[in-house]
Amino acid sequence: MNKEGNNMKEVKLTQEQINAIFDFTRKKYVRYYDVQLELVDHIASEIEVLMGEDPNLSFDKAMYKVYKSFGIFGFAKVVEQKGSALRKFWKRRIVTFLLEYFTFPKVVMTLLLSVGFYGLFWILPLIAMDTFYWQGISWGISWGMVMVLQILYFKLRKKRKEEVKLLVVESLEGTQWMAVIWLWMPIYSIPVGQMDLGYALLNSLIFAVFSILIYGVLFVFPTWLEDEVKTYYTHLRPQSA
Amino acid sequence: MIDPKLLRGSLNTIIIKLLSERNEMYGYEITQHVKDITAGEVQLTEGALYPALHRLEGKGILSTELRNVGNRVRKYYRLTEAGKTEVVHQMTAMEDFIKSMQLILNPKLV
Repeated sequence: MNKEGNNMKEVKLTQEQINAIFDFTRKKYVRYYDVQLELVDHIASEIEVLMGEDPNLSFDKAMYKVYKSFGIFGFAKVVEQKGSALRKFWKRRIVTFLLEYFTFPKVVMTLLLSVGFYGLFWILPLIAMDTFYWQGISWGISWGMVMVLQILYFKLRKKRKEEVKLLVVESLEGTQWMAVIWLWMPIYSIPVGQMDLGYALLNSLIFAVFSILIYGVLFVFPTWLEDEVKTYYTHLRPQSA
Repeated sequence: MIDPKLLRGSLNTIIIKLLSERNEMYGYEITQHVKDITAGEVQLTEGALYPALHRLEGKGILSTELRNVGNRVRKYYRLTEAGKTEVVHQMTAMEDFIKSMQLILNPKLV
C-alpha cells in the first residue's frame, strides 16, 4: 500500500527485463558499462513504480515512457556531461600529480632532469656540431619519447583484460593524451642550442615535465584506475561475466 | 509544478542538502524524495539530475559506492569530507539568494 493509501501492486522486474533495459541503453548509444549500470537501475526503479500503479501497463510501454522523461536528447546528455565531469576530474589529478614534482623532495628529480636536458641541448651543441642539428635532435628526441610512450602504453594496455567499455577509463585516456600534446607543443616552439639562458632553462624544464608526464601515463595513472575498474568488474552483469 | 529552468541553479544545493540529511541516496531515490517532500511541485528531471550528480562527484564533493540490489546494481552517493563543508557554503549562498529575491519580489514584506 502506498502513501496515499491506494493499493499499489509491488512489481519486481525479472533478470530478463533488466537485461532488456541494458540492451535498450546500448541501442540508444550508451556504450559505457559504468553509465549503463546507473541508467538501468533508474529506469528499472521507475518502471516498477509505473507498472505497480497501472497493472495494465506493459513493460515495453513503461520503458519507453521512462526514456521519454530523459528529454529530447535522451541518454546522450547524461553520457556527455558525465564524460565532461570525469575529464575535469582527471585534469585536476594530472595537474596535481605534476605540481608534486615542484615540491620537495620530488623537485630534486625535476631539477636533475632539467639539468640533464640543459646539458644535452645547450652544453653539447657548444662543443660538438651545429645548433641546426641540435634543433633536429631535440625534435627527434621528443618524437621518439612520444612514439615509445605510445608503443609501451598500448602494449601495457593489451595486458589489461578489458571486459567492458568504461567511461571512467576512456576519459582518463583522453585527458592524458591531451596533456601529452599540450606539453609536446612548446618543445617545437622553443629553439634549442642558442645562448639565451631563458629559452634554455624553459625548454629544459618543459622537457623534464614532459618526461615526468610520460612516466605518469605509463606507471602512475593506470594505478588510479585499478580500484575503479575492479569495482565495476565485480559488478558485471551475469551474461557479461 | 515549478519550472525546471528555475531549479537549474539550485540543483546542487538540493542534492547536497538531501545527502547531508540522509547520509546516502541513489539517483532515483533523490527524484522521488524531492517529489514527495514538495508534494510534486519540484520534479527533478533525470537529464538534469545525473549530470549534476556526476559533476559533484568529479569535483570531489560526492563519493559513490556500487551495491548489488536484487538483480541489479545500484550506485549510492554520499558526501565526502569536502562535501560536508560545502553544505554550509551552499546553504548560506541559497539563503542569501532567497533574501535578495524577496527584496525584489516582495519589498513590502521584508
